[in-house]
Formats: sequence, structure tokens, C-alpha cells
Amino acid sequence: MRHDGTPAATCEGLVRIYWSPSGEVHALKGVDAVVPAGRLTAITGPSGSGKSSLLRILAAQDRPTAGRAEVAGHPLTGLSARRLRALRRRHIGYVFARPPQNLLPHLTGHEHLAMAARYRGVGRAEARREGAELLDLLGIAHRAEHLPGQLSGGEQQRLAFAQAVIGRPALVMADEPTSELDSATTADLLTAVSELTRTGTTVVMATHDPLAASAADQVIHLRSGAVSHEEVAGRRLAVIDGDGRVQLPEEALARFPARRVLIDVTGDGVVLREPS
Amino acid sequence: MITIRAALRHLRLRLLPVPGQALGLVVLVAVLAAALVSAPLMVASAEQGAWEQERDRLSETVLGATLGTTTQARRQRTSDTRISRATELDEAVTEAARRARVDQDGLGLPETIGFLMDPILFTGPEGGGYAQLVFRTGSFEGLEIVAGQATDTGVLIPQRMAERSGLGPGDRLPVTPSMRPGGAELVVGGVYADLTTPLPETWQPHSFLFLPRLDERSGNLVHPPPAVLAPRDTAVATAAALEEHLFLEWFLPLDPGLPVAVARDAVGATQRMQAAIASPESAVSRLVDEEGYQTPVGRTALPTALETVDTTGTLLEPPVRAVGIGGGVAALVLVGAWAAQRMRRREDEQRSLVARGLSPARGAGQAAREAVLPVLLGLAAGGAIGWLLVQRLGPADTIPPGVLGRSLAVLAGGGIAAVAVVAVVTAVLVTRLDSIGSGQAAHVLARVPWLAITAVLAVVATVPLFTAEPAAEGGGIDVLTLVVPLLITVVVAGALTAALPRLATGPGGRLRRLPVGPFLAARRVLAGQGAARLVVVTTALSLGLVVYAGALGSSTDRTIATKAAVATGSDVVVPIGADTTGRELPPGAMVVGVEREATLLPGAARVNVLVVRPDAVAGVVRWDEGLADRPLDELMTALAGDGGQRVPVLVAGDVADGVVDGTDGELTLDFGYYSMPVQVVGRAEAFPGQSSSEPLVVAEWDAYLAAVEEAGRDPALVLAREVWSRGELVGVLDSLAATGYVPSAQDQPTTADAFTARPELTAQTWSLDYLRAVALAAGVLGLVGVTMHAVAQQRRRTVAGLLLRRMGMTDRAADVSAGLEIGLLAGLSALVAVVVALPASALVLRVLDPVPSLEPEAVFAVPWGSIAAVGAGVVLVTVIGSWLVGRTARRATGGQVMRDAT
Repeated sequence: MRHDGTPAATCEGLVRIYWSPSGEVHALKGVDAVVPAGRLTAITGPSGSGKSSLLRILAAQDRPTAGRAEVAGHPLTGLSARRLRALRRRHIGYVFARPPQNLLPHLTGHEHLAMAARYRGVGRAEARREGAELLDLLGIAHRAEHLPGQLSGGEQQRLAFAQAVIGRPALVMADEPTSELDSATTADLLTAVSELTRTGTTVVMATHDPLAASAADQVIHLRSGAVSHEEVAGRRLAVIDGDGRVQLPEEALARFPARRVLIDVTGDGVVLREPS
Repeated sequence: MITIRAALRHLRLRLLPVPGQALGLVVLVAVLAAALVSAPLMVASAEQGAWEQERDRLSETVLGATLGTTTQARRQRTSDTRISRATELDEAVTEAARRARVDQDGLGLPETIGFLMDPILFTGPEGGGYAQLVFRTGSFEGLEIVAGQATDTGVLIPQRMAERSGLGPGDRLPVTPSMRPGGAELVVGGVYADLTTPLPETWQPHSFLFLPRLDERSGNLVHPPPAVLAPRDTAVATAAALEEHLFLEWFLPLDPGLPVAVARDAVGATQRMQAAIASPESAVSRLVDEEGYQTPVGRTALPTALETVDTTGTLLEPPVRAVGIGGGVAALVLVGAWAAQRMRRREDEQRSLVARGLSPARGAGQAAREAVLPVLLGLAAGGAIGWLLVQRLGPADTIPPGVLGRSLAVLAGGGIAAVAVVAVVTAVLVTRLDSIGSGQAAHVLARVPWLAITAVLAVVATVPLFTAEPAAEGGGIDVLTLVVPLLITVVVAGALTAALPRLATGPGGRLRRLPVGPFLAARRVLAGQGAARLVVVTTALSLGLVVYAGALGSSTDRTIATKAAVATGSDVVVPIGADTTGRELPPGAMVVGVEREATLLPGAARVNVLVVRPDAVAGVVRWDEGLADRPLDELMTALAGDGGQRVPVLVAGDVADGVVDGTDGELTLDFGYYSMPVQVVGRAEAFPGQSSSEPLVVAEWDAYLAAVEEAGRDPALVLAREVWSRGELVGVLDSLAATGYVPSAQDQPTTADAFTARPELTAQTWSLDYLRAVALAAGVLGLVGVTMHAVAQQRRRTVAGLLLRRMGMTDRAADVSAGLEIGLLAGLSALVAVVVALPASALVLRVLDPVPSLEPEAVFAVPWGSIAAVGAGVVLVTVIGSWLVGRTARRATGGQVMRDAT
């Protein structure tokens, strides 16, 4: 958890290429992004835009083919698999989309938190105390002794967040955590996640859900493996990468069917015009 | 209380979080343990079984140790007390046995038997004659005393002697030496019933004291003088008084039902006793020194019998070990598959843990920890099952306890290997789970034509089976004979499953006309990929092993039976004197003539000649239809036909066809000093009585004897004779005695049982029985695999199944579809198994010939029992599998299914 203004994670020119029988797949084509600490960041974009690839890299589950990624002050490039695992264990929490992917059917809520704390190296007493606080904060303290099968979908996801947050990791990654929830439960979950961020937890969430995106402090929108734009405090910002590339919003792009523009740099800013 | 419960729950969560899943591991480890532990147990059981066979064959009397000496001096030493001190010598030998503690190592203390070197004369009120004086320590077991009783000083006389001499209990019996003056008097204590065959076991080594023998010169039976049984002191005192020397024997009986390990100790005990006797400080040595006795020398068949046992063990151990290890490895592969399945079923959990930093080592440690309890349980169950199966179905009922330590070590090794396999597979899968994409190496591996490579390997491995000759000392199962059929099965099953999807494109249109259930089943089988192909291949392998082992076992049984029939003629073969005649033999027996070392002209082939009465042959010999291309009765009819001036004969064995065809079968039998024209009326690959690799000429009795006489020879002089008979040796000998036939004194009777008891045959039979048992277990596992696959498929198809039901598909149609799919998969596997295993076993059989020096070559037998078992297994697994699939489908609730599917 970082409160000194240092971002929880940063990416510069992130490229990820996968091998497949039909050839190479360029999932990320130079992504620049900054994840501020203690905030809820949403990553949005259509299917195939690179959300999951970016999420996996930020979650230290994968390494970029090129570019630079840093999580909790640790550059991922060049890290061995062992060090990546250690980074995940100590600094990153993860929440999958479906509740059964996050929870073990034979463990109660308390047991889940105890096991997660053990992984993170938190002492037993500290884990018990922090676990109780988290369950209380997320509103599922009364369900702590229940098995996942006895919890509702929303409760399961809240338990999954508690499990990911225990031990105060630098970053909590959530892959479409609201995809299986109805809107009311989604709202409840997002409120709970907001409570977590208020306590200093950094949450990054890949989502298709506009409700979830609207609850985020920052939205990173991906398109075709690159950042299309960011939304911060309701304002949409285009992102200029280190090489000076910028992605135009869809509606701006539609104005230039010939894919050629004239650029006028004025005192007020930069103006793009269709060549006459 | 709550703390204990919480601790127990904690322990259960750590050791057994998913009990249902652990059950599969218990079963697999049980199979692994049974396969591994059965190998040393089988070897030990075979050792005990071979020992029991030898014990039954040779009897405990022959296997016990016997020491013998006489009161006659070695060299020219004289002593007046040498005969009378025989009692001291007896006690000294008995003391030596006691000191050697023979009674602690499977032998009894010595029983002494003594008898005179020369018979003595006796006189009675109504007549006298020669008599033999016999004593024996211990009881006169097996004697029926018909008058009087055995006393400490009186003698027992046989009933015939009592009747002839008019002697009875209480009478005095004067005896004198036959060649010298002198005399003594005995008191008759009782009369015993004359001993006849079969003699009581204790008297069998001394049958010459009671039973008549054949006088070689006169050909008449000579009865021994009646045996007067006396107490030891009386007998020795009488011998001393008459100055008649004694033969002395000490018999150390083997304890009844002795296990093989103690039998080995008994050999040591015999040696210890011999050493104790020979020791300069022993009382025996002192007596030998003082009186000039010959040192008692021991003899026993025990070392020879144990040598046979060791040979059987030596021959049996490699194939049994190969099969046991093969079974163990296969079970370990299945344990690995279970570990992979565990990961697959708990993929969400594992993926979640990997996301939180689970390392392969930690994942492996967790999996190993969870595997400990099931493995321990499986080891215990499998060990017990293996022990029970070997004990019930193995060569012996009792397993030597000495193998327990080795078995436990093997079990421990198997358990450690199982846990290690679970750990390694988990570690590999966690590593894969931790990596994104399959990488270039995986793509390269996926492009390797594994099927073609396996096919090439199979071809290369098969070549030695075509080119190799059977080992002179007999073949056995080895890695090659195990691997080749498995490789071929993999290739055929792999090719078939690869071709199935192509078939789906051809008859696809016709399939659509089928009802829903059969259509779905056919499409699923034809479109089967990945797991379905693997199931067909592995099930074909396991069922193929069942058929293969069955074919090898049945064929070897048939080969051994045929070779025994050919080598020994009938169940019992008793050589008799060349001119011996008797009354008509009972059904199932006949007299044959044998003449060896003749030459068949032209071609100069060395042959033996067998002369038979064709009408009696069918009831006596054990004929296998594979021995000739014509039935036996046709051959015998041809043999009984009129050959004109030539003797009609059958030719069995390796005589060039050209010789027979080129001469129209008109050949000449040349015996060196006379010859005989013969007409070949039939051929056979081998014929009963062909006890060597040399061809056999079978001739008709009357025509052959007439030809011999015509050649100016006496058939009694040129033709050795044997009685061939069905039944047991003892019964046959009794029957011969009753009909007046006397067995030859020079040649021992032979039996088919003795042939089949040869170590190489016993070892091969038992090792193939073991292979059959292991193969059966593999077959059951294969079919269980089909069922598990079907249930797993049903779980994957839950959503599709629910949608189909909502679209109107009935439960019955779903059940039919599942049943047909399982039946088709299992049936395809069984088809591949049978089609591959039968020719593969026929190919291997030649190399496995246990006695290649004897005709005929290995004979193939179709294993109908194994094929029927495979068929029954397929039907059973179809029924049980479809029921389980139906139950799984009906247990899933619609709402939950759709919720989980999103």
C-alpha cells in the first residue's frame, strides 16, 4: 500500500506477443498506463482489446515481450518465475470473474482468509484481526463460518475481495468481478470495493460493465492492444506514448477517412485538420 | 470438545480435503500395490509350490536322510563284539543326531532299521525254511497284527510263515545260520498280516524285504524270505549269537508338511549330523575305530529336490518380475493420470492459488500431503489383496514368511513412488498453469507424428520375433514379448481412432436417419478427439493384454500337454521285458514295441520305430488334432490297412516330403543287420512316443512282427516293449501286477505328470498364469477407465444435455445414447484388442516354446475364455456406465447448471 503519490503500477510501451499454430498474436502493442495507488482503476475495452493480457502482466502472472512494467516498485522485465511468484504472493491480490474460481468449496470464510494470510506471510493473530476487520468492512462478518455454497454470488465475490486484500498487498487485480452479478449486487460490491480503496487499497478491475467503470477513479480504455483513452474525474484523456503516438477517439477518427491529417500547433494547443 | 473438532477438521482439510477424489487414488494405489507385491509373493509361492510338487512326487521317505553301514569290518579287522555292539553304534548315531539338533531343523530323530546280511534258517512244527530277521526302532507302523501282540522280547512273524510252519504266539522259534553251525531261539510274540503292495510308507524303502523281485536270468519272480520282526536288542543279540552280520540304516524322516525354508535348513542339519558322526571325539568315531565299522554315510534326495525348486525359481523370477514391474509401472502411469485429473477437476482452485503465488514445489507438496492417506490405505488394501490372491490362486497355499520383509519393502517403494508421481505431475501442471500460451516447444512437440514413430518402433521391435530362434533351454516372457504386442496395439488403435473422424464425413448423411440416441452416440464416437482417442487406445491396450496373456497361457498349456503326450505316449509308460506276456490289459492300456536307431532309406534319416495295434491307440494316447492334418482314427485305419508286401507305417517328424513323395511312400527301414520294406500311409507332425527330435516311424503290430520274422529275426530279441496306460502310476503298476506283467528292472516307468513337472514347464506355466492375473486386473482397470471417461464426459456435457432435454429429448433416448457411446468405445477397444493380440501371441509363441528340443513346435490355442471375458466386460461396462451416466445427468438441477454455465 503506497500513500506517497508513487503509482502502484506503471507500464511503458508494453508489448505482448503470443505464439499460436496460426502465427503470432500481438495482444498488446505498446501500452502506456499508470495505476495510481489507493484508487480504483478500471480497464475497459471490447473483447480482444488486450484487457486480460494487461491484467495478467500487472498481476505478475505474465511477462511482457517488450516494454517496461513495474508493479509495487518492482520491474517485471527480467524477473525469474520464482521472483514473479514471490511478487504475487507478497504484493498482489487477484479476484477472478466467477466466484467458484476464487473460493474453495470445502473452506469457510474464515478459513479462506486464514489460508490467504498464510500465503502472504501474515502472522496468525494479525490475520485474525485483519480478517475480522475486512469481513466487517465488506459486510459479510455474519457469514464468516459459512461455506461458499451457502453464500450468495455477491457475498462470494466480497469474500474473494477480502481474501485478495488481506495482508495489504500493493495491488488488487480483479478480472470482471461483477460479470455474474445483478445490478443491485454489483452496486453493493462496488460500494464495498470503494470502502477498500478508501483504506488505501489499490484496485485494478477489468470490466465490461459501465456501472463498474463509472465507479472507478480512473478508466483505461483499450482498443486493439493499445490505450485508446483514459477517463479521470469524468474527463476523457488521450494518451501519448513515448514515441509520440496518440490514439484518437472513435468519433474523432471518423472525421479522417483518408487517415491523413494536418497538424497545427498553436499557442492554445494542437489542432488536427483534414487536408484540403 | 470444540477445539478437538476444529483440530480434526483442520487435519482433514490438510490431508483429505476432497474424500471422493481420493477414493480413485486408493483404488489405483491398491492395484499398484497388488501388482508390485504379488511379484515377490509369486516367486516365493512358486518356490514353495515347486517344493510341494517335489515333496509329493518323491515322498517324504525319499527326501528324508538315510545313513547306512554294516557290522562287517572294513579291511581285515576282527572283533568278537562287533555285532553285539551294534546297539551301542545305534545309540551313538542317535546321540550324534541329537547333538546336531536335527529335530530343530525339519528332520526327525533317527529311526533305525537293521536286517541280516544273509537269511537264516528256522524250523517250526510243520516245516521250516529261510527267514530274515528285521528290527526297527519306533513303532511297527502299518502292520496289522492278526494274532498275539508286539512285546519287548518276542518277535512278529508274517501270516504266511505262521501258516506254513505251524508257529503261533507263544511258540519258540529256533533259528540257525544258513552256512555255519550254531543256533539261537526266539519267542513268537504275534503274527502280522503279510505286506503287499502298496506297502505302508515307512516300509517302502525296504520293499525288497517283503515283495518279490524278478530274476533276470529265469524271468521268474523270486519271493524274499519271510521277515521276522524283532525288537532291536533281541535282533542284535540273535545276530551276535549266530555270528550273522547286520545291515544298519538310520532314517531321519522329514517333518510332514515342511515349508521350503525349513527344508533348506534340513540339508544343513544333515550335513551337521554327518560332521558330528565324523568328528574324532564322537562316540561313533570311537566305535568305528574300536570295532572297524564302516563310518555311516548319509544319502538324501533333498538337495536334488531343492535344486529343482531353485531351477524353477530361477526360471520363474525374471518373467514374474518383468510382469510385476510392468503392472506396477502401468499402475503408476494411472496414478499420474489421476494426479492430472485431480488438477483438472480442481483447476479453478489451483489457478486461484497460482495467481496468489503458489509455486510448483508448494503445489507438489500439497498434492503429496493429500496423497499420503489414500496411498497408505491403498497400499494396505492392495498388499492384502495381492497376498490373498497369490495365496488362493498361486502355486502354493502357504507363502513362506521370509518374503514378508521383501514384500513390505516393495510396498514401501511403491507407496513412495506413487506419492512422488503425484507430486511430480502436480508440479509440472502447476508450472504449465503458471505459464501463458503453450510456447514454441509445445508447438513443435504437437507436430511430431507420434503414431508413425510408434509404428516404426513396433516394426523394429517385431523383427527379432521373426528372426530369433527359440532358446535351447526354452523361452520365457521378457521385455520384448511384453512390449511388441502393446506397441502394435497402440499403433492399430491410434490409427483407427485417427480414421474415425474421416468416417464421420462419409456416412454422415446416413447417420442422420438414425433415431436421436444412436445418432448422438455415433456422432460423438466418430468425432471423438483427445480424451476419447486416449480412452480407446488405453482400453485396447488393457483388453489386448487380457487376450494376449490368455492366448499365451492357453497355447502354452496346449503345447505342454501336446509335448507331454508326444514325449511320454500316454499317462504312464512302463518298460517291460522284451518277451513278457500277460493276460489282456484293461481298457486304456496297451503294449507297444519300440526299436531305436533305425535308418530310413532313401534319405538316410535316423529314426526310431514304434509298433502299435491301431485299434487300441485311440483309447490310450492323448492326441491333439494339431499333430496331423488328418484325424487319428483315419490315420489308424490307414495304418491297419493292407500294405501288400510292405509294412504300412506312419512317418512323424522331420522327414523330407520329397523322400516320401518321390518314392510314392515306398521306403526301407534299415536296422544294420536286417532291413524291412515299408509303405508310408500317413504323415504327422509328431506322434505319441516320439521322445526326441528324431523322426518316428509308427508301424502296425502284426505286419511288423511278420516282417521281422520273415527277416529271420526273433521279435522278442529286437523289439523292446512298453505298456502305455492311462491313469496314475500306482494304479497302473497294480493293474500290471494283477495281469501278470512285470516292469523292467533296468528302466524306470515314466509319466506325463513327471514331464509336466519339469522346472522349465512349471516356471513357464506359473509365470503365464501370473501374467493372466495381472492382465485381468489391467483389463478391469481399462473398462473402469471407460466408465470414468463416460461419467466425466457427462459432467462436461451437462449444459448440452439439459438443453437437449428441454428441446424434447427423452431420458430414455439420452440413456440409449450414453449406453451406445460407451458400448461403441469399449467394443472398438475390444475389437482392436482381439484383432491385434491373437496374431501377436501366435508370433511370440514360437519364441516361448518351453522345450524346443521336442516335437511338435509350439501349438496355438484360441483363448475363448479370455475373449468371452472381454466380451462380458464390454457388456457389463456398457450397462453400468450408462446407468452411472444417466444418474449423473438426472442429479444435475437445471437452475444450478445454467448458473454455473454462465
